[in-house]
Amino acid sequence: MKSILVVDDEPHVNRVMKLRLEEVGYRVEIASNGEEALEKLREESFDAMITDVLMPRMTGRELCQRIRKELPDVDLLIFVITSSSEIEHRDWVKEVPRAELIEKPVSPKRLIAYLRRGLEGESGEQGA
Amino acid sequence: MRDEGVGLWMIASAVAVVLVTALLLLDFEQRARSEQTRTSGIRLVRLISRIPHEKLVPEKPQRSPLLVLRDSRVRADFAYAVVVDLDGNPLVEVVAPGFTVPSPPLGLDPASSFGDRELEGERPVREFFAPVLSSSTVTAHVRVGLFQPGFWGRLGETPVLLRAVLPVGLLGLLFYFFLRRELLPLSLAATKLEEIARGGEMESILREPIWASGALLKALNRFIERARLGLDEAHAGHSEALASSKVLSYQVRRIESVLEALPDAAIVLDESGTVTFANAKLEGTVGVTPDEAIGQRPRDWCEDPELLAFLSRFEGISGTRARAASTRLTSDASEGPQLEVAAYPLVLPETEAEVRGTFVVIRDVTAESLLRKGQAEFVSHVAHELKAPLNVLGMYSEELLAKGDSEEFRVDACNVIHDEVDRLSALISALLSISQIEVGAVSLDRQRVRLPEFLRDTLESVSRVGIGRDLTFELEVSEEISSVYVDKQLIRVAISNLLINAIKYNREGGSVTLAAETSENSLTISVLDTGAGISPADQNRIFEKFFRTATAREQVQGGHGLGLTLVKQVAELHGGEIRVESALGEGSAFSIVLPKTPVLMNGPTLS
Repeated sequence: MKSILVVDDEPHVNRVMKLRLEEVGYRVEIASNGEEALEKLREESFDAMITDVLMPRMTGRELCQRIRKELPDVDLLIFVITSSSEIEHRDWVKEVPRAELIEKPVSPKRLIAYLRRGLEGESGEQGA
Repeated sequence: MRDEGVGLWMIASAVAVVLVTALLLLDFEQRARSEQTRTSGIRLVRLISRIPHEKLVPEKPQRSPLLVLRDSRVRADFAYAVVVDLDGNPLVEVVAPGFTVPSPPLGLDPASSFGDRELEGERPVREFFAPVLSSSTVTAHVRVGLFQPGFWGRLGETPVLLRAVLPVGLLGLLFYFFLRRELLPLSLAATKLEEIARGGEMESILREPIWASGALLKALNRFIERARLGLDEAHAGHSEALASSKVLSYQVRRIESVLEALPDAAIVLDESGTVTFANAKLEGTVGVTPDEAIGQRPRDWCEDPELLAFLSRFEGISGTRARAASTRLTSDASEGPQLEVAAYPLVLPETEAEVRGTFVVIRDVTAESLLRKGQAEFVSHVAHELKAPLNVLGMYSEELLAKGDSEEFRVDACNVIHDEVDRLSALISALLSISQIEVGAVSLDRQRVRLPEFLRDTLESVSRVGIGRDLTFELEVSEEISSVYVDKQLIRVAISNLLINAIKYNREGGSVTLAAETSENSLTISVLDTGAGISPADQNRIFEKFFRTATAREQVQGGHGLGLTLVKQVAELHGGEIRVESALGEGSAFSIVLPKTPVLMNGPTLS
């Protein structure tokens, strides 16, 4: 079972995300900020991470950079969810290996499709 | 004076020339007379020698024909006539009165019995002698003496001398006056010229012309007159030039003051690229004083390579086409001032095609770019704050479609959607209020508000937000405060925002206090909570738009970071301010402090 870490300071988002992803067969862990996410990454391994950008204490960008720097062995597929336009973040996201930018609002269906493609090499959508 | 000395010498030499000429004339006349005397003497003695001896020497000496010579006074120069025998003894003697016959012997031989000789005596005499014959035999000799015509010997004949001396004297006098007339003004002129040469004041020296009639001096006077006129003209021209130069320099100073008054640094370059003007703002923007830049090429003072490269484009632009240019300096873009440089070609109206220099304006656009950056950040924040609830709405609506059959999820989703719609609505209201206040579109609608009742109502209505929370609400309003004139609606929004924050960020079991107190000068409305408190660093930023402390973000969903900004703006709109006191772990106190102005206490005056 592929495991996914969802990092967002919005509990509503985390709640619906966990619900939805667990339904399609992923193990989901929630972190409400960057520190928490780093802690969880140190404790167990994940296949993918979905993170918001604008979060208190640590931004999604800092989180990504710290993961690559402090946890070089962790090989993660990363989805960066941004509320602003793509332009503002594409440059730094490009420099993070296996990271992709997704603009809000996020459709859970589309996100699952991206996850499947990225994790299992499957293309197309598989609704639940 | 040397010139006068020369004049005197000239006079003396002229007199000498005249004198010598006169003497020569006299000498010539004397010679002529002397010759004349000789011829007449010889003739006379020949005449006498032809008279026979007997007649010449009669018995009675009174009958001698020689007496005729003396008594007739035919000859003025008659000295004596003597007949001597062969031994030299006088036989007959006729002498001019008062004269003695000199008696040197006649060393006569028959061959030379005719002749003449000069005899010195009391008066020089020329003696002529001849033999006296008596029947072809020399029996005696006759001697006739005639006075020599002599210069010194004829002092009596003064008219001749006078005739010579008078013209000489007159000529000399004439000469003297002539020279005096010509030389004196000359020396005067020389004196004046020398004075001028020595640096005397030309005008006063040339005021009076030199009296003269000579052509040279007339010309000189004309020259002086011209010079004086020229001086006057020059003087007039000078004062005119002075006046116009004053006007010019005034105009230049005006233009310079305009350039100085520009809010930006201004430089004027000439065709060669040399700085001819720079205003004082140059020092503030580029760090170079105008004095350091003026008269120099940019490469001599400009240290910013990018600015230098830009300014160097305007070196040697004479005759090129007029073209404006501008650039933004990107070096040190992150730190230090950001500069925008614009160059405008300077052309004269008559030669529009030809560039005469460049006018360069260097603007410090740091503030503008910060403002732009701030605006960009603001928009980015708004987008984020709008997209966050939209994101939740999108997710839940999509899930509702997929799992509408789950009653539990449906209720949950509807609640979430309701919350997010509220959040969006509050955000949009706050945004609108803030922007309206910021652009000054909101004018206060002051109404009489009975403060104790107003605060109680507000607290009651807001406290509903805290339903389900374990919180105590307190109202502390001093009774002496009765009515004030405020914009009821705005003040309600402001106090509500403070109360909502106090509820949201409070701990369970905490308290929310709304208090109002009054001092001599101000009215203070405070909201106190027992929440986590705000760190001093964050206290400085909490009134910024969209700023939320990390704790706030974690603790409370649906905040948008505009509430306190709005409270601050409302307080300021009433002429007051917002204050915060907070201690971490103990709680915070936000106070709206309104000064007790007449309009607050008595309401707006009717105009």
